[in-house]
Amino acid sequence: MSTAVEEPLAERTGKQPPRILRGLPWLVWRQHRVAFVACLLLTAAGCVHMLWQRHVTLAWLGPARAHGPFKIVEASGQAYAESFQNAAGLMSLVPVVAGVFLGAPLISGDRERGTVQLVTTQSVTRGRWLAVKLGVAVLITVACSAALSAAFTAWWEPAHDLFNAGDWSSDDVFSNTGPVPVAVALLHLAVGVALGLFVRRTLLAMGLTLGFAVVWNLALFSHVPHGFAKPRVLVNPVEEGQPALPEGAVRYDNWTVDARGGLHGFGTCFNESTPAECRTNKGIVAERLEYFGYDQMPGMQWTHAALVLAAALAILALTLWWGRRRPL
Amino acid sequence: MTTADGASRWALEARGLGKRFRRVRAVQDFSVRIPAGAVCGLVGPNGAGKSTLLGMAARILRPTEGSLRVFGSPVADPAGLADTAFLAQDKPLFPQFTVEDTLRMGRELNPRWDQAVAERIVRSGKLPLGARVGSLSGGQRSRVALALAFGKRPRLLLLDEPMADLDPLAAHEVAGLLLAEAAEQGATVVMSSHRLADVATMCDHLLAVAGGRVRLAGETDELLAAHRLVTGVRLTDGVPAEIARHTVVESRTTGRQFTALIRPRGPVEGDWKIVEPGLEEVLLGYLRSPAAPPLLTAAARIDGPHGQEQEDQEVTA
Repeated sequence: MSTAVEEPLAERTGKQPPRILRGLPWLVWRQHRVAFVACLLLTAAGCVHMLWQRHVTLAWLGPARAHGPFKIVEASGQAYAESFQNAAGLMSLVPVVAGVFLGAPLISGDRERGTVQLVTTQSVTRGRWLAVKLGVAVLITVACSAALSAAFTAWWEPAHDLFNAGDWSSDDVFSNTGPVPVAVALLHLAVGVALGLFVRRTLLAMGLTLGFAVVWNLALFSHVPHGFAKPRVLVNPVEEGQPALPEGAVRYDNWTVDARGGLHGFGTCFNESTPAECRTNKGIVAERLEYFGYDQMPGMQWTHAALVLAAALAILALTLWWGRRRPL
Repeated sequence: MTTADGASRWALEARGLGKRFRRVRAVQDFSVRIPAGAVCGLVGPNGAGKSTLLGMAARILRPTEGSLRVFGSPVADPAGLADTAFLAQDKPLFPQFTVEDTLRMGRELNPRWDQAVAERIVRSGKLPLGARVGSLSGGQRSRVALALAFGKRPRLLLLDEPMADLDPLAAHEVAGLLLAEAAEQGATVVMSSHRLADVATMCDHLLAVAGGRVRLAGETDELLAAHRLVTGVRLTDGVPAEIARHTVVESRTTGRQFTALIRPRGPVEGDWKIVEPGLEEVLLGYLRSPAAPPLLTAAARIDGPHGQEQEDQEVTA
């Protein structure tokens, strides 16, 4: 310590920014700040846009509702459906961005450049470094996806019976509102990080993560939500026709029912020349509607999100365990 | 094996150390120690296990056999992290960081960080602190990496080919820097190098490895003093009897001239020209002759259940 006469640079130049972050969080932020700042800026822009759209939506929705159903459908269908669909499309990219641009390069970049050795031969263990890296990435992902989801949900909710023709069980609404985007983004992040740890090449890890995102979308396209709740049932005498779908509900299935309670296909006797005679012959006495009520939606979303989140946490834990286990 | 103040006398102690990568045994049955304060050259052919040894000491690789102690504590002990600095062969740094950011990383991640030392090293190379590391030349990057290593104030500095990719001028500069800082901080230095001339001028200890095993270890002076280069006229085929009495590391015949590198057991008889060999001759002799028995001086030798490589006891000759 014989050279203490020389003032450290930070104090001498005097134009240093305040030292808010310290230690490993500083390093992780400094190393990935371009990606992190880009994510935060895009999130801010997206939130501002969607909150503005919400404002616009509320402005036409009130008067339109006052003028009856026809006006509502006209107004929403013509002017606002497109901007909503575009926003839903962009929202579905949130997990892809989290996985491909945040997750995949997180560790693979350090492995590719050898900077794993640089960091872990400072006075920090590999386990702590990985934990802080994952922690910061998870924090950014949760903050961005939660903010975007909140803004999108706030826009969609007042007009939930109109946007996407009221079908909230489709991917556009179900996967982009409430807790689902946060959980799915975390899962993509976790998959990206894990792939990056294993394959070592950043570009390859990004490609594989993109592949995962595609598979995830194909596999889950509008199939998953229906498994998370029991559909409700309405039955009408056949003379009254099909039961009306309750307000805000999503149709799941239609049946015809005979006197013994047996179910027949929705189209039974539909194309006969004398449908009434056909129904009499088959003993069909009622029409049955299966649907999901609007109040079932949060339960289905939270169940879905919890499962996805559990998978994400399991992958993150596995990554951490594997990453710290190998060298000291 | 500790001094009065409780610190270990040995910077590194390997006992039966081994490292296996899938099928390949990079290091095996490695028992040697390096005293604290030494500047030790680690030499050997490509693939001899030099980088593996340094990697194990730097906690980048986990040994598969045996034990490795750094200043008396097991290498796996995280308490020793702050004691060791490692400079990898390709000197990885974050290219998008400025020099200043790189030094700040050292400050943020090391409890004993000495900003003044690090800045002095950077400034003496006339490096602008605001320059991005990715835009620096090889020599400048080496200097930044060295500043990071010395700013940590390590007790043990591990360097893997520190001068390999530098031009002669930069190599000379880095070597001077290295020795000056090591002397000032009293750090132990272990550096691998292919440049025997560097090893000869910089190092007072030597560790030669081949095939993952120790070939030579100990103080350079003592190692050299234990050898003789004998030259004379060849009268018979093969190694003459009066030479074969000694430990012959390597022998060569050129025309009628016979040359041998030997470890004498007692006086050499006969009409031979006898000189003490240079470092390069000894090193090359051992690296060329895998069958020659290894030589460890008393300081480098480990006595214990794993120390099987010390059947040669005539070092004090």
